[in-house]
Amino acid sequence: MDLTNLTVNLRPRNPWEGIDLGFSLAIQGFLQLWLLWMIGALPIFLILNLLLPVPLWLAGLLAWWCKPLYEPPLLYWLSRMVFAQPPGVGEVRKRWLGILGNQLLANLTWRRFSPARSFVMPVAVLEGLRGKPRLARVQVLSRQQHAAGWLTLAGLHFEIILELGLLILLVVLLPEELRSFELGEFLFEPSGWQQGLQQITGLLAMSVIAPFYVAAGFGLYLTRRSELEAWDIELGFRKMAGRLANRRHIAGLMLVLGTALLGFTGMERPLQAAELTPPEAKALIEAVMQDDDFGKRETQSHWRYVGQTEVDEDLGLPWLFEWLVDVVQGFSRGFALLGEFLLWLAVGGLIVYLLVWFQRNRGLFGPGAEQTRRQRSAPVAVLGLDIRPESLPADVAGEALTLLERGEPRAALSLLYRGSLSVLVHHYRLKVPGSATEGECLELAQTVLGRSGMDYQTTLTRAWCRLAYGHDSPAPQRLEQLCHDWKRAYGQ
Amino acid sequence: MTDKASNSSQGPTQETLQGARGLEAEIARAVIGQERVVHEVVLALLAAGHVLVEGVPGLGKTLLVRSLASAVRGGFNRVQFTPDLMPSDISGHIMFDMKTENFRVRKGPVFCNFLLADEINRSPAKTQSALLEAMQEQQVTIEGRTFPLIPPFLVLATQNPIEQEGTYPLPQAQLDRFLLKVFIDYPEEGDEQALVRQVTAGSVGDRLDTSAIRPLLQAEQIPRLQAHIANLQVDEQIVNYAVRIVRAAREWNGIEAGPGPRGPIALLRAARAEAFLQDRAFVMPDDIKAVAPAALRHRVRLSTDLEIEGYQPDEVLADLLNNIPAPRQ
Repeated sequence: MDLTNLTVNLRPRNPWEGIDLGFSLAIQGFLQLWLLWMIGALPIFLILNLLLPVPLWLAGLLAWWCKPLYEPPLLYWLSRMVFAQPPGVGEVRKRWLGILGNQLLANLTWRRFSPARSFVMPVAVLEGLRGKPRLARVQVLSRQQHAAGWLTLAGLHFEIILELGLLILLVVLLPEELRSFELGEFLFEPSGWQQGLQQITGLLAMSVIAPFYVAAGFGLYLTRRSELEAWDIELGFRKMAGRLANRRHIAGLMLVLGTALLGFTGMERPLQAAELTPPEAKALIEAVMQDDDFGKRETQSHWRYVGQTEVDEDLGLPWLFEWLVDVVQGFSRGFALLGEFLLWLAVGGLIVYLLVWFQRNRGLFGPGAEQTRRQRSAPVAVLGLDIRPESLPADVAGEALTLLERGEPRAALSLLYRGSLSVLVHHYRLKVPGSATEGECLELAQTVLGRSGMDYQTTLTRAWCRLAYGHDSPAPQRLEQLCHDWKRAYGQ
Repeated sequence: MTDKASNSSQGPTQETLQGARGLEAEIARAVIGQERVVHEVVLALLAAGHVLVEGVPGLGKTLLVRSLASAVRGGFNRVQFTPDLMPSDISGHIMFDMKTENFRVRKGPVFCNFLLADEINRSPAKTQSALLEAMQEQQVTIEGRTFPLIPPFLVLATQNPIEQEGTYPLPQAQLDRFLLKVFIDYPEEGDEQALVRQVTAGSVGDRLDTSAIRPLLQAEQIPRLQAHIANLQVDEQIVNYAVRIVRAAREWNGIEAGPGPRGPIALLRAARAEAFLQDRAFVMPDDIKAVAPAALRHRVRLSTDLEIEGYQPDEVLADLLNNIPAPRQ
């Protein structure tokens, strides 16, 4: 295993980032991983469901239990992929038994309960450790590591969600006429064929989740090893050494490096790790950690522009394809430019609109704003009648009586009705829509008027409607009475 | 808001007017929990129109028409529309009488005052149009001979909204001939309890009992009553309001096909009847608004996207009515 061939960027990561690294690996090689999983799982699934005389639910449970049988090849493939040497599916198939190894019994029995299965799998499959060395390694790796357990738990939930989702999708897509069962019955008390369908969807759900689960465990493993064994530092030194060797100054640099290390540790000569006993090493580490450059932990988070990703334009395609790619890219660039232009245009338009709106509505802000708002919210006309207070005389009832004496009963009644609506809208703040009829205005008035006011409004509305739509003028005495009652009803 | 209608010397008597206004309450004694439906059917009778009722079976449509017939002493017939029903099964036919050696006219069930056309959309268009012609022309032609129908003639056609398989939906032009479209729904719990008690108290089987209905009018009085209502005062602003509503419906967002000129006519006819039932001698904008859903819901066709989203014509019409300014005086 040569670390310089690693295709992943090793750097200090927390466990969640390690899982994320695994997901990236799974996405990169999903098809191969899925195929490898199916090659292992499908025959066992078919044997359990078709050949063995076991109930379908038991067959499903056994297929799920045997996951450690299908997962090691995926890990093997991933371990080769990160060193840029992904083997073919056929090659993995040939090495199948070797990959599974002789720890199969343990994996299928007591280790099956381990919540960190995918995280510790590399110890047995890739490092080939067994017995006490394996246990010691697992203990070191697992110290302060909880993400592996959460990974298993989350994977289990996603598997269930995916399986249920697939089942519900199938049921929902089934036409009502063909559906002879309830969803609950289908999920929890399935009949024979329904159980078979559940097995298939279960297999599909497991096959989709497995590559991510194994890869995430492997990502965690890489992160942990890198953290414990400083793979990233080693890689850094190797790269530096390679660069300096090219310049033929390696000896000089090593000298500088050695001096620097001596300077940091305050020691007179370089020490070899193998020569130190654990207490000596501990004392040395503590001495190094006391230095300002090492003895503090600092975390910085900020965005940094790393520039545009360089894309190799030469795709090695025939000229016709290259021309087509150019045309498509040209179109998309053109559209992007047009989109940007339209966006700026919209922003400019919005700013202009806001400025114009502000200019027109200056009265709504600053001193006197409340009065302006009130004036604006009240309607000018209801039922086609002008109900602004300024359009009405100061003494509505008195003016109506004058009109009545002049022999204009319609004008008098109209003035009274207009006045009543104006009082309702401006004094009682009643919201009367333009579509409201006389009857609806009366219903609305019920919410604000007292009993006597309501009686008066009802009589007035009835008289007004009879005059306006029935062309039947009330008797002068009745009109006179309405004028006299006006002030009592509205207190104006 | 009430205002007594004036009684002209040639119009119906005060007793007849009171009887007509009491029809609703009388029918509601038998048809429990369907006040809105009863009101709209009485409106249609007074406006000399026909009613299309939509609702699931078993909600008392037959009982409603029977009760109405009992309340005005009118003739009642019921025709169950089926795919093999022929036009002559409704209108009647001419048969040869062996005894007299003459052709004799055998009149069909359409010759009555109140006809319940049950599940009208189960028959093909030919049979439907035979009935719809009788509704429009108030006469029936049998083998070239024309027979007038005796007024009042009210058709109450029903449609089941659920079972649409094997049906022949009424085309828009024929729906237009119904004055009102009424929805009949399940009664409230209390009403249903009262209904069950009434039907099961001392009766054998589930026969419809209309014996409690008192005849308030004679069928012969109805045409004069209809003429009286047709002469109720309608201000120019009210006509304008009805026309504005219908014209707006034609352009309204979400309505693919709006009502034709029969729309405002139906609105005014029904509004007059509404004003009469409200004890008024003139029509108000409130009457137009009150009858607009029943008079227009079958005359509008919603756009496909609204139908897919599950909107009903009533919702769109309510929105429309809330946005049309009321008449200006």
